Amino acid sequence: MDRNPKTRAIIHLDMDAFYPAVEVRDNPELKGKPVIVGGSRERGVVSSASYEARKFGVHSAQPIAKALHLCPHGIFLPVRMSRYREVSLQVFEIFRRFTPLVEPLSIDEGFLDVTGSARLFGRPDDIARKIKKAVLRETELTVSAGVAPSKFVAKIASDMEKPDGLTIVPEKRVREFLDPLPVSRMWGVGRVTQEALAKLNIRTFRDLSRTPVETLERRFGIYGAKMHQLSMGIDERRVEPEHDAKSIGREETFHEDITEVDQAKKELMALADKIARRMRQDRLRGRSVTLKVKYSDFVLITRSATLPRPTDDASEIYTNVYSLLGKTLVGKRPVRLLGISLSQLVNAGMEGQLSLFLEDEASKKKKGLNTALDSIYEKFGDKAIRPGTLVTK
Amino acid sequence: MEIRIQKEELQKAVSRLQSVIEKRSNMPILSMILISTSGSQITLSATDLEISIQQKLSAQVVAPGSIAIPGRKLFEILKESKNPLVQIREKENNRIFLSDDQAKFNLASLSAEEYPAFTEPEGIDMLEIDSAILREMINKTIYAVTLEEAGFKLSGIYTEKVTKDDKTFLRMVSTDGHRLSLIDKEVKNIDKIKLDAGVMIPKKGMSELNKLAGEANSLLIGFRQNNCVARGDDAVIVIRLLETKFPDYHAVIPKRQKAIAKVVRQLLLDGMKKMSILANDTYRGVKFTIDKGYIELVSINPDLGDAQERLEADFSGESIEAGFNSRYFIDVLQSMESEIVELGFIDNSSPCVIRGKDDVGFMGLVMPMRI
Repeated sequence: MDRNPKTRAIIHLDMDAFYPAVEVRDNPELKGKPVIVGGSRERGVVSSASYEARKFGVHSAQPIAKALHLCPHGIFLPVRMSRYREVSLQVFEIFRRFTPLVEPLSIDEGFLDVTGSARLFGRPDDIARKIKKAVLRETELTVSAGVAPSKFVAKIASDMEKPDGLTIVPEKRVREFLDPLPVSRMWGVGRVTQEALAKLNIRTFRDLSRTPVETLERRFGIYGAKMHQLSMGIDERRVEPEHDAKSIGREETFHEDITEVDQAKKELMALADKIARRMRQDRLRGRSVTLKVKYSDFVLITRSATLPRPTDDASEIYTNVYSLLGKTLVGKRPVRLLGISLSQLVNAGMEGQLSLFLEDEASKKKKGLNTALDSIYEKFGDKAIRPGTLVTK
Repeated sequence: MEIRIQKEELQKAVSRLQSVIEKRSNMPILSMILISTSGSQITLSATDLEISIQQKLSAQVVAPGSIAIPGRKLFEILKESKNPLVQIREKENNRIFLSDDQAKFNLASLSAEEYPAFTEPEGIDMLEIDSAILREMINKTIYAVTLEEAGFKLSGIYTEKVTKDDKTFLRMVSTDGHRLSLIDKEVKNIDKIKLDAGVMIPKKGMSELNKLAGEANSLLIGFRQNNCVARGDDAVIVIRLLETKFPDYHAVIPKRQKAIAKVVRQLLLDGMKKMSILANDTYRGVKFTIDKGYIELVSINPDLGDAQERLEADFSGESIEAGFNSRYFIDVLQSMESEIVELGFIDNSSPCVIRGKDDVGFMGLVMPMRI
């Protein structure tokens, strides 16, 4: 049987410098100026910078203080998350006019599967053009698009001609497109993997695809085989519309391997915090907590626990992850990635239901605290308030 | 062992035992029904190790003995068979021969000796209780028992003796943490049973008791160690009690209400059912506005729309607004019998107390929702 009876048409859409773009749109006087959106001047980091600011070397995740130094005339603005979310909804609304198969990756990017939309809206590249036009007309924002037969290639393609780009990679040109790219373009390949690959004389996708898969597997385990497939543009992941979400997870690959348990705990606490907030935004609670650990030799393990009742609370998630940590070799073996996910999700429809018994008083207080935290994040951005352990000087 | 028996009667008994048999047990013997002869009678037994049930039937005993027979298969065969008489005979190698004079089955089975022994506690003080009273008590509490998924360990009905005004009552209380149902009933000779500390009878056991009570005018009930024993006309049930503690429910029952609204039960029930049409996983709340002469119900669901209904009610006092889960109200009102129900309120964060004149000894509590 043919594994690929019909070529899929995937579009990856990525809003250009989304936060600053929204700010400029709301205040046209900012047009053409280096706009930097981020936390407070003293301690915050850059969330997103306009292309004008990027010219000065400003980029996201950079401390604001550094950005201030690089771009003293920049216009520094606080994060207005609720506003961005509003615009994001509008943008995804446009995406959904062309196909129901829309998978949001974040507030400002997503995948569309338009394989079945051809009769209604034309060829995939035409659809991409129509979407770009509609987004510009209705929101005054630009979006970059990549059109390809797989998610992996579409995502790389959308990044090729940013901003306001459109890159089309037909199936027969996938290898030609990928071959010259540096391996760093591959999702999940950071500095450490790059160095490991360089030792095997692998620098481009072409090098990677021509390396025997056994060699890669020996060095990187399952991930080696995965990289080999991706280097040839083979990626059969489907576009999963959001309501299919079976789990909510966050993970972090570290620049330097983590060797200390305390450091791992801090990272996990931050991840637990992110997940809990996402769960509360989506009005979901999860009952099963999974800890994911990838050691420096790419061996990946997961450990799970089931909670007595579904949660959306960071400290409850963290407490469980903490006890799962004991079932891993974190602290004994260097770790390159940590992740947490919550599954067995339930709708938090009972929100607001009061309890008869006082045992629940503690969780009621927590709920109040979480609501307060959420409104602070909303107003002041992600880094506005954090557990004491996560504060760095 | 060999017996001949009326199909109809056997089928009825087997279908009763079905609900006890473990469906997904890792002990195959627990999917069996044990059939033993004694004189001109047979006894059918089923157990999931928490609940054991024994049912006596009259039969023609050709050869005495015991067999274990797959419960589900036996039930299905009896269901399909149209003939009035069934013959069951033990064969070699744990095979059971079964025939209705038309079809012949040889069923793979297990040795009857492997079947967990049924130990009916002896020497227990038994209390005779009117089946109608028992059924009323169970039906008015069982719906509020926590579903297991909720994570609480309240998966049973708390049963105890209480004394009020020099009278002793049998009391059952159930809760899922958001609502509570309580019923007190006078039972003759209640002092005959020992029940000083109060026990937790699991939900599944209660529903078996309810069925047993449906088959006899009265049951004999007794408690011993960790078991509740109930005896009907031809059947005995032994239920292992839960060891979980029941929360101190006295503390959550309001001592007095600030305002009471009286409303026709059926009207409120119908109204809540209508409101619940717009409920889903995310929105279940119904807003009550109670003012002079009426109760207004409003249900708002941003995804589905909104609904509103005004009911006549006997109410005087300061107007009250509170939100409630429609499901909880429907459950309570459905279990009640009174024509008029009384809703007692304190404020929008205290439980609403539901009573009715003809529901003697009953009280339902429902905690509000913030909406």
